[in-house]
Amino acid sequence: MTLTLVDYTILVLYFGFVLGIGWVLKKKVNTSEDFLTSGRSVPLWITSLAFLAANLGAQEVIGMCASGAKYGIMTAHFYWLGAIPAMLFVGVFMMPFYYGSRARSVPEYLKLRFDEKTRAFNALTFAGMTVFSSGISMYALGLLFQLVLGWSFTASIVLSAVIVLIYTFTGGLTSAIYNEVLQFFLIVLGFTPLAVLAVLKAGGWEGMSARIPAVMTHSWKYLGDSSQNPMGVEVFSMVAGLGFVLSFGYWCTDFLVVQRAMAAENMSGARRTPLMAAFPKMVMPFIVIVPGIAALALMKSGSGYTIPAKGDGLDYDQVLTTLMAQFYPSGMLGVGLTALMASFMSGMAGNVTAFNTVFTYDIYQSYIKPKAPDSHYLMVGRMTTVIGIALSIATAYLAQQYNNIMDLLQLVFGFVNAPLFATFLLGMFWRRTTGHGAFFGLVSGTMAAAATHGLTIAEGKGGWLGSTLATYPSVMAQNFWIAIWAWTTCFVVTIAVSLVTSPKADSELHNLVYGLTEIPNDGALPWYQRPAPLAIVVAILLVILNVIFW
Amino acid sequence: MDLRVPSGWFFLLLGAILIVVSFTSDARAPLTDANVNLYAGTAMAIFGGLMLWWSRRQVL
Repeated sequence: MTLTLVDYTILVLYFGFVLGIGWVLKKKVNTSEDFLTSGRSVPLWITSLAFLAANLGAQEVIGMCASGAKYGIMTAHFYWLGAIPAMLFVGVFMMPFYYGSRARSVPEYLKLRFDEKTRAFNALTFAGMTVFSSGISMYALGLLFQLVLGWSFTASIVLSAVIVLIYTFTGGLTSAIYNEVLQFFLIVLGFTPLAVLAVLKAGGWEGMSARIPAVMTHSWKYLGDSSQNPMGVEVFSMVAGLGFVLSFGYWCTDFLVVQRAMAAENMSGARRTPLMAAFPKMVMPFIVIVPGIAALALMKSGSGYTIPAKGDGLDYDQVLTTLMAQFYPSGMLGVGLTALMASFMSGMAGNVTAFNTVFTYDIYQSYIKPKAPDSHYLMVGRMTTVIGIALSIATAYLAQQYNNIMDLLQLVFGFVNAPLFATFLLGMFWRRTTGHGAFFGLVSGTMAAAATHGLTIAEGKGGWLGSTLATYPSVMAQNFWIAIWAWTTCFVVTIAVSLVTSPKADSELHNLVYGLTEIPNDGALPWYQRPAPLAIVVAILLVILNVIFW
Repeated sequence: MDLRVPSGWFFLLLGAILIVVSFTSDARAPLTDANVNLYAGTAMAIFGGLMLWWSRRQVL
C-alpha cells in the first residue's frame, strides 16, 4: 500500500488540530485537579463520547474486524453482551458512589470505602496494567505500519507517542478527553464508508449470508454447544463469563473509563455519561465487525479480494488494512490510516491519563510524599505523564524482543482483574463488607484465577499445576471460566471474612454505600435527562438488535 | 474552549480536501467504481458545517 502527498497532508492536518487543542487548553490548567481530573467541568456530550473512545484503541478496531472475519456476528457479543449491560449498571447504580464520594480515582474510592491495603493493591496493579497495555498496543501498531506501509517500527511509535505526550502534557485530562472526541468522529467517519462499500460489494447482508456459513451471521443460534461455533464457547460461559464477570469488571471498575464519567460537570452528567455512550456503542459493531464479515464473503465470492495468508491459516489482523487498500483511493486512504492512528492515540492517551492520576494521587501523594503544596503534585502529574509514555515505549520494545514475557504479564493482569467486580458490588451495596474482607477476597480471587488456569487446558495453554480438571475447546472459553471462578471465590471469601471482622461505622460510610448515600431526586426532569428511563430505552434497543441478529 | 469549533473546522477542511481530490485525480480503488472521495468528502464537510452551525446556535 502506498500513500501519496494528499494522504500525508491529511495526516499532518490531523496532527496539527490535535496539538492545537492541547495548546489552547494549556491555559485552563492551574491545579493538579485541573490537570488530572479536568476539575469536573466537562459537558455531557463530550464525556460520553470520550467514555467510548478511550476504550476504542487501535487494537480494538483491528481486533474486532479480525474477529468479524474469524467468528462472524457473534463477535458483537463483546459489545451487546460484554459492554452495554455493564455500562447501564455503572451509570444507574454505581456512579452515585463514585461521583458522590468525591474520590479522585477508583483506588481512592477503595481507600475511602475500605482501607489502605485494598487501595494499594488496586493502585499498583492498575498502574502497571495501563503502562503495559499501552505498550502492547503501541507494539501492535508499529508492527502493522511496518508491514502495511513499510514505515520503520521506531519512527511510527515514537512519532505517535511524542504527539500524545505533547497534548496530554500541556492540556492534561481535558485535552485527552477533547481529543478523544475528535478521534471518535474521525474513526466513525473514516471507517463507515469502508463498511458500506464492503457490504455493498459483497451483496448486502443477504448476499453475505448466502456465501458464508450460517454460524457467521447469527449471534445466539449456535451458542448451545461449544462445538457448534468457531469461538468454542457455550451460552453459560458466554453470559456469565463475558456478559457478567469480565464486562462488569471492566466497565464498572476500570478507572480508565470511569475517569471520563467522573470528569463530568455534575452528578447527573456523570450518571448519564455511560448511558449516552451506550447508544453509539450499540451500533459500533456495524462499523468495526461487519466489514470483517464482508471480507470473508468477498473472499468466497471470487471478487479478487483475499485475506493474506499466515502459516497454514489467515492473517486476520490484516483484514482492516487490506480492505482499505481495496476500497479506498488515495485521499480517503489517508483518512482511513489517520483514523487508525487516531484510534491508537485515543487508547494510549486514555491509559496515560489514568496512569498519571493513579500514580500521583494514590501512590505518590499517599505513600511517597503526602502534604506537599498542590503545585508540587501538578509537577509530579506532568512528570508522570512523561514517565508513563517512556515506560510504554520501553514495553513496546520488550514486546518485540520477548513475546513470552508479554503473554505471561497479560495472563497475570487478567488474574488480578477478574475478581474486582465482586469487591465493588459488595462494597457498594452491602454496608457490612469490611476492608479485610475486600482485601482477602481480592487476593483469593486472583489466586483462584491462577489456579483455574493451572488446572485446565485449552489449545495447549494452561495446565501447569500438574493435573488437569477440565479441557476447553478454546482459550476464550478458558478465559471466561477463569473469570467465573475468580469472581465466585472473591464474592464468597469477601462475605466470609467480612462476617468475622468488624465493619466501619455508618458515619464513615456516607456517600460510599447504598442506603447511606442520597440519590438525587430527578422526578421532575424530562425522561431523557433521567438515568433510569434512558437505561430502559437502551435496553429495549439492545433486545431488538439481538432479536434481529439472533 | 468549545470543542464544536475545532471539530467543525477540521472536518470542513478534510471534506474540502477530499472533494478537491475527487475532481483533480481520477484515482479509483481496485474494488469499487464509486467516487469514494467525493461522497465521503461531502459527508465530512456537511458534518463539519453542522458542528459549526450548532456551536453558533446555542451554548451547551
